[in-house]
Amino acid sequence: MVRRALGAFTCGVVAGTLGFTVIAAAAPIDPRDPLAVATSAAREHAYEGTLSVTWRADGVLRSRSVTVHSEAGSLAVTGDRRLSAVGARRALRSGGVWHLLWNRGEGDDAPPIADKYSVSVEPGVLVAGRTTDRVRITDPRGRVREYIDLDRETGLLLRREQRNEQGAVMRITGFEEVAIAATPTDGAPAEVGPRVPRGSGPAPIVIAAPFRSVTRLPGGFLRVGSYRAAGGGREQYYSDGLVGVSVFEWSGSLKPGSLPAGGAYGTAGRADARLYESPVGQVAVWDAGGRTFAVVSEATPTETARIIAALPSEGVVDGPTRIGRFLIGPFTWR
Amino acid sequence: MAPDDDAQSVLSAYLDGECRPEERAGIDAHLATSARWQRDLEEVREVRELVRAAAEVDLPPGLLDDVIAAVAAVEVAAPVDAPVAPVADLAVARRSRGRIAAWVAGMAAAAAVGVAVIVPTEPVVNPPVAAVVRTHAVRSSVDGVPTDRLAQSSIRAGFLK
Repeated sequence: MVRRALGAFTCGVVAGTLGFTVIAAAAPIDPRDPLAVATSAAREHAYEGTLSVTWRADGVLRSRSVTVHSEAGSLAVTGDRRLSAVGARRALRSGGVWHLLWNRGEGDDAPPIADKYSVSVEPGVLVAGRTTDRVRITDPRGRVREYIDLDRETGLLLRREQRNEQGAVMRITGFEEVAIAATPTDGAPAEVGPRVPRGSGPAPIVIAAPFRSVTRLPGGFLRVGSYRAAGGGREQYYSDGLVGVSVFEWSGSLKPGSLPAGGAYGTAGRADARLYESPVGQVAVWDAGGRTFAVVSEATPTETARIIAALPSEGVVDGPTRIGRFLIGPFTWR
Repeated sequence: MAPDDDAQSVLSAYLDGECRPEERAGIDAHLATSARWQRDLEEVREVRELVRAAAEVDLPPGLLDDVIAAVAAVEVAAPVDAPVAPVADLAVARRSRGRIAAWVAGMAAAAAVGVAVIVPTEPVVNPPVAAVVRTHAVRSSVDGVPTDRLAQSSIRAGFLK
């Protein structure tokens, strides 16, 4: 097993250093990039608290709480698992060691939010007892797709609510409790995550045959990165400026009985697909033409269905594979 | 909250085949009765898939084609000494026709078996669903504020096989 011992997880004691005095107002929210102020605020402010994660599964909303601890741009999140973010570095703690999952910045630029959505700012609701400014994001038909509540004093993202086209809540992440340091952090960043070696982690790749290179998906999703994926597959990551979609592809057909239990049966174009709902988003898995695909989507179910429909759901099978299927077919049960 | 590191370390050794037989039997027995350990085993397996994905190395594009082309070039360059066919007696040829037919039938049967064995069977994929969901969330968290995506990703989604 490839293991990377990434050093000790050394949480600084933030609670004692957090203050509650009035601090300088956050930078104004830029409607063209409403999350920019939250991104910089997350780097500059120390904060900790309890975050509630809500998602829709099987038609009902489910919630879990996780703890969040951030100091000088180093973020630690502890739920069922412990994850860390330091800059572009992402690590997961398992088996007593930290495993580096990511160590790079983003790939190509995601499209601006304004290319697809309209953004407005209004007085927000109280979140964890703090006054917020609410960023309202609407789609071209005027339907609210997200509410993003930013702390008025610091600009920190305190709550994010994502809705589908019918106005139903898909996901909410929001602080139940939060303590924010009175002054922005400066100087050397405190280490609240693992120390990791530089230059490791996945590198962007060029998608080449037999994998299919698709640069855009329906709904204004542009490809912003391509990577290797678990199991010898490839991942192409897309964004519409607000939410992301990953398309994974492997050579070979779906192994019978290999999918996790649960989920529901649906269709992906002309193929049968297994559909799952997770706190991250919708998941669809299917095979077509000797290839297996998985889509992980933060987009709405309607958008996700359009994306899946645009991906291969039947395909040309090469000659040797056809011969192999013909000969072996009678002896398989699938 | 976060799973126990010691248990995951044991399960990691279990998956790596580093346990002695009696230890393995004990872990098997515990796995049969402990839902927690079953979940942790899935977690350890998922982490291995994630880390291996980051560590995979691809062959350079076109390497296989280059090798095939090089082999073909060697075969073309080699001198070909075609044997001269002997002149056959027609009567002998007629007598041997039956044997040839039997030989052809035998070869056809052997070829069918050979094709079934030699033709590469279609690879099958065991998609690591939990790992790809985590991979997506991690990638997505790099753009903008990471808090919400990492928080979502820290929750066990329950993709148990």
